[in-house]
Amino acid sequence: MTVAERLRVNMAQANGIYAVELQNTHIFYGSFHAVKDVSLPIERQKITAFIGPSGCGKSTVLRAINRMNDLIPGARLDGQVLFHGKNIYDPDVDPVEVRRRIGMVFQKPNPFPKSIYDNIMFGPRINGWRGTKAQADELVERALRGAAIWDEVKDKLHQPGTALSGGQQQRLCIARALAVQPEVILVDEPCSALDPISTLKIEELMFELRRNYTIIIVTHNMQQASRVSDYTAFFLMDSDRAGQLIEYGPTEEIFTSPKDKRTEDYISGRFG
Amino acid sequence: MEQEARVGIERSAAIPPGVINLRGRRRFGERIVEAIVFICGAISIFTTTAIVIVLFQEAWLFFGSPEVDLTEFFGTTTWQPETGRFGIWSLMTSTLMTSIIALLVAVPLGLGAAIYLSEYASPTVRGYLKPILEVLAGVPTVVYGYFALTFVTPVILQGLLGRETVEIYNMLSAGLTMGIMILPLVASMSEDALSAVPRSLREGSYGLGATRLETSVRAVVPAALSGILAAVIVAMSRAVGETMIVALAAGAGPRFTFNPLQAAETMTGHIARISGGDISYASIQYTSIFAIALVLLFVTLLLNLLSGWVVRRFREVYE
Amino acid sequence: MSTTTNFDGRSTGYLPEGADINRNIATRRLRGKIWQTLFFSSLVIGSLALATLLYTIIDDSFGYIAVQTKIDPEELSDRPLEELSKEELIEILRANISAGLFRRFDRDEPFSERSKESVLQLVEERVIGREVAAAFKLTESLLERERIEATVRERFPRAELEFHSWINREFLTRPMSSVPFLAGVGNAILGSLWVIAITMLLVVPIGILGGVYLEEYASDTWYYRLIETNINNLAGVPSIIYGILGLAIFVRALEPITSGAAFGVTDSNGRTILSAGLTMALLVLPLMIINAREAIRAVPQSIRQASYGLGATRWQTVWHHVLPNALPGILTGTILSLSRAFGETAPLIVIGASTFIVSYPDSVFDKFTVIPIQIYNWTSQPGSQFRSIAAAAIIVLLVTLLLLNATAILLRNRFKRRY
Repeated sequence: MTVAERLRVNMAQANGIYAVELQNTHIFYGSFHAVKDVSLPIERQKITAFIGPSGCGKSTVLRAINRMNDLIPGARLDGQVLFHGKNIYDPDVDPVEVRRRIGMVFQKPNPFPKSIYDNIMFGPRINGWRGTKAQADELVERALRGAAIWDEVKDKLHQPGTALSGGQQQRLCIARALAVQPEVILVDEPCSALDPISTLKIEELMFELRRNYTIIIVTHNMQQASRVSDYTAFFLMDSDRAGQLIEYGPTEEIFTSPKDKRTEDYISGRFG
Repeated sequence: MEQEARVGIERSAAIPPGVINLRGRRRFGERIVEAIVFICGAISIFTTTAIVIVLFQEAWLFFGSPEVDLTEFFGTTTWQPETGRFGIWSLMTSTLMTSIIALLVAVPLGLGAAIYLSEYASPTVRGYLKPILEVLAGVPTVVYGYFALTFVTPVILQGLLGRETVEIYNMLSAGLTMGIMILPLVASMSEDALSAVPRSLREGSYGLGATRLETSVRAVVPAALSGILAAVIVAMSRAVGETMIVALAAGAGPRFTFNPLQAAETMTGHIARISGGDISYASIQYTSIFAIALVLLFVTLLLNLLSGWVVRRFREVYE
Repeated sequence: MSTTTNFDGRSTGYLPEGADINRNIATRRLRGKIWQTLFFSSLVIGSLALATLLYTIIDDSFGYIAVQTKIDPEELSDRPLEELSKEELIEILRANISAGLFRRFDRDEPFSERSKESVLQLVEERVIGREVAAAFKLTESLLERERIEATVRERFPRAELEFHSWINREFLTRPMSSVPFLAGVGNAILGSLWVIAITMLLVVPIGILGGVYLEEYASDTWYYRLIETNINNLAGVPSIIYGILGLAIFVRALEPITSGAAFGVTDSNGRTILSAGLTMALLVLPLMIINAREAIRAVPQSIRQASYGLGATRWQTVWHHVLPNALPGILTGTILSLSRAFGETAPLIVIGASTFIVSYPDSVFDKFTVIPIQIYNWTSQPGSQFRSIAAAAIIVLLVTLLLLNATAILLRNRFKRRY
């Protein structure tokens, strides 16, 4: 970034405009340098999309934001990932707390083989839920409404979550993530396993959720990115197979007048 | 073109017709082989039929004899062939008690070991710990019987409760030792079940801010429950059918008691003791063994079928 | 969109917020650590049990003994007894025991047929009367030597204290005896080998061919599934039931064959090595078939297809390609079955393995005993000396099993490298 940009970002950070910020982030899997030097602010209550061809590190960067990469032995991060100004990779930060505040929806829906009700309440229960049964019922309803699936499942809350269709399962996973009241929701290619109608429903859902949550979405689908997101970050693999951030900006700008030629090539479908 | 034609002519010219008769001879040999391998596979049917016939035949004689009464067999609790009392519950309670004690040891320890190996241990640690379990599984049961009699009983006697309360032969040490013997079985079957749970499930749990304990116990174990249950049932079946440990350590006389510190002979122990002595083929002692064995077979078969049913019925479809 | 998403959640406050979160997480982490230790301790307990087992065995197998004799061996002959010929030993026996006793031993097993070790054992047992007055375990012997010496001096003044390893060369070659000090597993080892030989002779070919049938020949018909379920069920049947099966069929119903009467052998009954081998074969067969199936299944399809493609028949494919490639797995399976058969006791008790027998087997129609049965016998007899020889026999058994399994692992690794 230029000095001017850096200044702008710092002021925005001070004003609390940025929920998450990556600064000079490098990610390694063992000795393999997977992601090089990503610096990227994520604005609050907006949808930021990560786009780029497959294998260029988008999901890796996404998973770094809620420290899911910690689960992979040998994974390491250099640089900083700031959340509320604090580097979440500091040794005194517990990833459990990070993941409570920064939730995730995965590429393939992964509901637990429990009832829909228990799926939703899993997160609150392990995080120290102190409410009554009535409050729990209310929480479940509101989470399912928030994921736009309440009407479809309100009569079968005690059926297993795995019995739903693919699109419904994914919305259940969204509701499950909402139930722990995160500030940021990371969404990893949510519709790649779904049919177009479910995809549309989930895109509409993202749009609505933006009002209260910061959303970062990784997607292969450029049209989806341009439809749904406010900001877009374009990633590409360099010659060492390391992912790099090529360009970042408001979605309109990226899609109509990209500054980098490589971005333009990707957008116009010349490769990828 | 010409070359090809030449090759074709050459080949057919090299093999005069009628010399090689491939089909007929090979077919016949193949048929014989087919029959042989089929018989080898089907010998197991012979075993099962033989077991069924033999047990039922002699048990029929047993139940048909005048001293034996079906209601007495299934209803009373004294087994004393000398006085003509044949109540199976005497032996059955001992079998059940030793087996349940064994399960109480094997299931928590085995499941705990499985959870540790599956969810916590690094590959190097697993490489050291799994062989220990395999060695435990490979020790012959008679050695465990020796262990029960020479170590477990004296240690429980002297260590905890004193010689007056604990008899030299007692169900508790037999049960405890059986538990150690069955532990590897529970551990390995449970670990298989836990490993079969897909990674995405664990990720979903971590993504919600769960610790490793919470993920293992609240998400993975419930998902693997059918396999774990099957492991427990199979372990029960093993414990019920086990002979040497109880023959050596549990006691040599049928007794109806719920006190695990007392000696009481199990079904298997009784069969071993009676058949190890001198019995005439015509005696009621002889036929009684078969009746007991029939009951034993029913119980173990039932348990084995139950475990298979549990897996099929409750197997989680993760997709 | 029919529903609105006004789920802003942050204000509902039933989850810990602020500083509470840190406390909450700390508690959960602590709980996690506690349970992790508990889970690990399961493995620790298992290891401890194994260690204790091995310790008990070793403790019983070595230690001090206080030995005293009725007659000094040097009075009988100026050469050590082991160097005397069998005939000389028989003479010593005849000269020193009553005629009636001598005749009885001859009736049990004629002296002409006995091994030298057997006669030597009788001499030691009956003539010299070498006996162990007291025996002590290993840890005792190592740690409390003075106390032991004092006790022995006080109670058995004639006896000598010597360090004894209950497992030694004589133990491996001598036959059974009612005196623990003179007993050995010689005839038990031989009995085990005979029985196992018969078992494996039957089980290996039938098991392999059975596996071949299920994997290569059978199509998914009702009888295939029946056979398959049957085998899986049989693997879970308690071993003592196989013993009962053997008792009824081989020992009783087929007595003419198994006792050898049909072949001209007299004074024998159905409780022979043959019956034992047949029974163990039935026991171990399902295991062998299952293992063979797995080994055969592991052979890649491409090999079969290459063979069929060249016009080979099914049997040719199996014999020349599938079986050779499945060999490592089949070998492992064989050794596993062998190990199982070696350690099984219950079925042989029911079949009627002899509890006290001094003769060595020389035909399949002989009575027999096996190592696990000896362990069972000696363990169930009271007295620390019986405990000691039981432990020694256990060492023999465990070492054998260890060697077998180590061979299996070695072979498996060696063959794996070929792929």
